[in-house]
Amino acid sequence: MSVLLDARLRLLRDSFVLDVSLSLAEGEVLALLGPNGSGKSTVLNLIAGLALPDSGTVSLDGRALTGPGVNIPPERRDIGLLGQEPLLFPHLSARENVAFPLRAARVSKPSARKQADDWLDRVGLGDCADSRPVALSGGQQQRVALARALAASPRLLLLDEPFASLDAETAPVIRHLLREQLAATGMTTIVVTHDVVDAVVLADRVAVMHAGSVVDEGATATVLEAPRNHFVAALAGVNLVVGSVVDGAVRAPDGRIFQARQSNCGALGVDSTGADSAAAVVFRPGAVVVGLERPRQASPRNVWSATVTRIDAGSSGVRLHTSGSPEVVAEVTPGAVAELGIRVGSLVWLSVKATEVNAHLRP
Amino acid sequence: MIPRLLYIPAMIGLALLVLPLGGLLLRVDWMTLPGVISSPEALRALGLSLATATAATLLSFVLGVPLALCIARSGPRLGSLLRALVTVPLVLPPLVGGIALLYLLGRGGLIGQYLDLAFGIRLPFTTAAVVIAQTFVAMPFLVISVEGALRTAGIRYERVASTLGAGPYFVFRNVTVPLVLPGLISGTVLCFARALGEFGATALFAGNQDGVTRTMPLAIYTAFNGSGVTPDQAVALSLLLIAVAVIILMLVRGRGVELAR
Repeated sequence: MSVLLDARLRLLRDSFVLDVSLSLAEGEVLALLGPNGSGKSTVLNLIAGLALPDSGTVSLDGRALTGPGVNIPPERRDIGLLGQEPLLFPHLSARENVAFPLRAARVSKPSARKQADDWLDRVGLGDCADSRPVALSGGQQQRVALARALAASPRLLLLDEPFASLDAETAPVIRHLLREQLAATGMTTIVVTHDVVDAVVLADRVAVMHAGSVVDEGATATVLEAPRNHFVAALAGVNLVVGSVVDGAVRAPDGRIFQARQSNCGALGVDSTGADSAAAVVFRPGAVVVGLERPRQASPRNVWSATVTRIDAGSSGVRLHTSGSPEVVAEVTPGAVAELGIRVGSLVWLSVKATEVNAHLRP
Repeated sequence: MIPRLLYIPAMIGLALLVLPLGGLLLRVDWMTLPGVISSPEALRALGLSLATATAATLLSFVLGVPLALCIARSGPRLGSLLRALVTVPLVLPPLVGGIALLYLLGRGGLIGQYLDLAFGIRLPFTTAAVVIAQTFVAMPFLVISVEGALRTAGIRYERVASTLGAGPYFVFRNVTVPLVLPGLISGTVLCFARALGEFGATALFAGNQDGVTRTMPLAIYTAFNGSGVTPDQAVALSLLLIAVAVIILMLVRGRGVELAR
């Protein structure tokens, strides 16, 4: 794959130093993970041309956008940016909003209108074309904003925490929609997020930022399963099992099968007809039940035995790291550890309720 | 909820604004009114007022909207400086403005002498001088109102538009202007009203020549103070000016609200 974006950025603000190099291949989706204030959004603004670095270069498809003596304005960069807030133009209808980038590119009115309607259909808002933004819910507004960003058909799409302002019900729906649209358009994308789920669902590759620099980078599964960085571990703070879809559940590489909660299974069921759809399940360490004997339970799903490989202090109890691929962490009370007499090397039975497990399809 | 005692000053304030106009209405001599307001002098003054106020409003619009945009988008320091400079004509007595314009554009003035020498243009005591005087006192209303609307709207939508591939002119036309349309309309209406009522700067810089520079306010003043005429004529002309102003403002407001929707 050829390199589409190449960015080397340096910026000094008071005592904050940003020093980041990123490159993206055509069609690749990169998740930029990091805590607040790590400089993720700044990186996007620098790439989009909304801010200028002190030094550095940005080139897209071999064309220099930022560099010594070069500063192409945002509107001529062919780079789209979708932020936390939809920022739909309040004086325009949903259709006119989506048609905006097309009209700016001098597409004729009827053609722009037709394309806008198509995009609204694709994000499931064909019925709302004439609505003003105020008449739409937050989730609907973000859908329109996504359609608008995609309608501009940029070479590179930047997403700045696109689900952060959505409620817990809406975010997964929009995330799924975004995944579909990115797959359908093959859009090269950088998504900035502090939610590990975004990275799991959307990205091929993850770069982790901390205090202005990239501290870890690699394939999503690799980075998240073996966090080399405290931040990733903390934000992960969750068990992540990447596997394939089998009968509406997810099978880990070592054969363990995880059943997700009912509302999630639907999403998996639809796509599971494809032989080996990739998927991931996420659950909290606190949701893992630890015992010395096999729990009496008919289904073998979500139940497995493992060896305790490490014990350390967690945020609200004791964390037991257990064998398996990938390893699963269980968080239990110190009392329980003492009562069960668990030590490193103990053989334990682990189980987790399906209602505690969230499943996500992966690209 | 309003603290009850505040009703007292509120009512006095309202009375102060409304009662003088009521008093004026009581003084109208309805018998002679039709004759006075349909006299050639009155119609000339009204026509001149409408024409010059419209020209001054257009000029204020063409110059003032870009100026407002520059102020709204400049840094905090330069912004406050420019805002203060624009506000000066607002707080200045219009008579002082007239004197200042005379010293700048008059025959011996800073710029006026060169206009005269190079092009033979003498501005004072012409209809053009009326328009300039009105623009001087009225444009700040438009600039301040539009600038406030622009600053409130912020640049977030403009930034989004630029990431969607829209250039500065397209953004100005399709995002910036529509977003501040209510402020733009009210600023323009204020500007027109101020130009229509302008007296002091016009009197000094443009004079009081029938058919050339005698706008309605000057005609009213002349009728009230001039020799051989009765104050009744001034009252009748005042009523005409008020009626015309109210009708125009109502029409524009109604249209504007529709546009803004």
